[in-house]
Amino acid sequence: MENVLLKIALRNLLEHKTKSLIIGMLIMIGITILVVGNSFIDTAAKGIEENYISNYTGNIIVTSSEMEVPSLTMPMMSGDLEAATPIIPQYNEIKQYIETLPQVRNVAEQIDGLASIKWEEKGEGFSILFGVEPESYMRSFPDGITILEGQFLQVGEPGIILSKEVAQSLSDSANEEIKPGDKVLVTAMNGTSGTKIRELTIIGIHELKGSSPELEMVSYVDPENMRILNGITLNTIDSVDLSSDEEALLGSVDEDDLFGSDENSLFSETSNNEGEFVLDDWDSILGDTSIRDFYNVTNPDGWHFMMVRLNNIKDTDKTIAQLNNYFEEQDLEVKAWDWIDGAGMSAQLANTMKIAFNILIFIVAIVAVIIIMNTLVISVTERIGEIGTMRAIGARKGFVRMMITWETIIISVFFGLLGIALGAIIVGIMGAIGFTASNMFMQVLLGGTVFRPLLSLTAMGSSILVITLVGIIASLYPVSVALKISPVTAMNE
Amino acid sequence: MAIVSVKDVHKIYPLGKTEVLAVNGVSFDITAGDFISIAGPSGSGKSTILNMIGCIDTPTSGTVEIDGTLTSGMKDDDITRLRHRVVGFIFQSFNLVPVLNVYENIEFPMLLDKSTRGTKSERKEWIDYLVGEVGLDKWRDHKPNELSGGQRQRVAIARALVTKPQIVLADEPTANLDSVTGEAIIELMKKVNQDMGTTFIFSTHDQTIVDIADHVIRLKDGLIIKNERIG
Repeated sequence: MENVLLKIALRNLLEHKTKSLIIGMLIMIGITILVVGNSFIDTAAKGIEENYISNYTGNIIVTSSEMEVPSLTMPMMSGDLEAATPIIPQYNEIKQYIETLPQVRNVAEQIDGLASIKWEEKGEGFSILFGVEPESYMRSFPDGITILEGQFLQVGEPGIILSKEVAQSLSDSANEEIKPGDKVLVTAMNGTSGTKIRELTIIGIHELKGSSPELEMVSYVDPENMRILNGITLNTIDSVDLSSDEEALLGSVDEDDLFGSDENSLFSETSNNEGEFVLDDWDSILGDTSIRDFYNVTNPDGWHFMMVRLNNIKDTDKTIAQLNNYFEEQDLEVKAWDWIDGAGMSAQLANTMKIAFNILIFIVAIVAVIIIMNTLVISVTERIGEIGTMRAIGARKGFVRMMITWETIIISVFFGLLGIALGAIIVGIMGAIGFTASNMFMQVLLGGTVFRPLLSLTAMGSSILVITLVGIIASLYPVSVALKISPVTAMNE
Repeated sequence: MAIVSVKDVHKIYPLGKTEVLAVNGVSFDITAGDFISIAGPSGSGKSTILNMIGCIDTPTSGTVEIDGTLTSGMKDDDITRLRHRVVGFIFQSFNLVPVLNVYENIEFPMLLDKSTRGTKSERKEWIDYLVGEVGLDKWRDHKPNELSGGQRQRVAIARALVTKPQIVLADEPTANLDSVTGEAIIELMKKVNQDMGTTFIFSTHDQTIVDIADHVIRLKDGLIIKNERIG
């Protein structure tokens, strides 16, 4: 019976060529858009995913649960600018637990910050700072960083590795090329301890693999200096007891007294009147840095992020759930996030674009269903007599249902495959030529300046799924119309 | 032996807010092997009765029995199976499947049920015989739109006979044919009736059919005015 069904369906489609072509072209165009669009997005997303997981984020990011958004590259997005970026509590215990999990390959840690960078009086720039432990970081992300000049951070060595773009920006503003060995003033602001300034020696200049606009601004700093810049210290300033001399100093002078230029200034080298401060007195007070040193003792376990790399990407969701369960059971105020949450603008934008594209495809699919359905209904109503005759001479409802469904299947599969082939050709041509991202938005979206889309198996698979669904859904109503045709109509022909 | 038994059948059709009484209490039996004509003017109810005998319509009240099976209350699949097994149809407008050729149109009803499908060679042998009987040997690969009206009706006759039904219902089979072709078609059906013992039930205005029928039922306004067995 299948043969006769197929024969009738096929010949009916050929008999009504115009209608078949209208439906077919619609399916073909829709599927071509789907294949090309999904291949674009999948290539971009896969590139971004591989790039980010391998080079910056790992598969899982662990932070304090106080952190609202675990953005590695946009630290200002991690929470309130006025508040300090929270550090991971009980860091050692958590790291120890994570490292015991068999699916975990490596764990690295990071402190984030934003800073302005000043090169003496020559030039100024701005940078995102990653404070990292060199050994664990390079073990986790061995291919992410290319050193262009100098070297990467060494264990226990203070300094900064500027990104190529930050170095270029400083060189441009100074009209002189900055190089390793030069010193820069790094000024960071944070919510707990206000502005912090550190002079750091440039150890190297680097370039990040598959860089995106925000990653191009990343410079690496040794963890000790990063903690000072972020105010991650063991001792916090709650209240200070002042000595009587200090109280007298702060209570008896005003700005004019301190910075005035008249001969009675506090900074005069000799004492004119008994009881006035002279430079020697200031030295005796400010020369003692013990209090400042006390409050500048950094917390060696203070980290904002822990980046976990897994042996197999497929274990990501399972491991996130496992970690969050453990944190909850142990009453730890810590949270494990998917890499995408911390990946920053590029990855999230690509993800958002994919969702938007899928919504668009959904709308296109609905329109296609309506048009195909409408055309099929017209086709069915034109064949009321024929279908009625079939029913009269012994065709059951199942036969009629299959006949209409076969028509839809044939047209969907034939033109769907044409659409896939056309889409594959377009993707192949664009992949060979290369797609140049002309503006920053496109660079962010495509993860680089030149983009070469690859035909995605997922795109082809989802196209076939869409064809099938569109075909099935579009045939439902015409089938129900056909099934309502009574055999009596054959008599009225 | 009655192959069709119609008892006190009424059929009412809704027509907007009113109702039309198409058949008003009709009873008769048809004996197997009869060549019977249901005659009457337009609107007399002959097509309605034919539809009910053909199991494609049901009575509002009364009963219709086909080959001993009561058709009222049957499920769609069951009544379709009964129709396929017992009844063959010949329509006024031939009603062939336009995308199938002569051979395929005749074969089509055989493929609709396991009981009639047989093997491909069995089907071919039987269809070849029927094609020969209706005189369409040279036209077997032609589509309906390549045939004359008479040829199409011959295909319809072969199609109606292909499942070896006990009853063939023919609704005005000569209405769309010229008189010469019409007579040839009637002769062909009479021959099949005599050779194969198939019961033929016609609804017709055609006096030629009425003249050669061995049982004539005349209707007017949904009532039988004459039920006559001839010879």
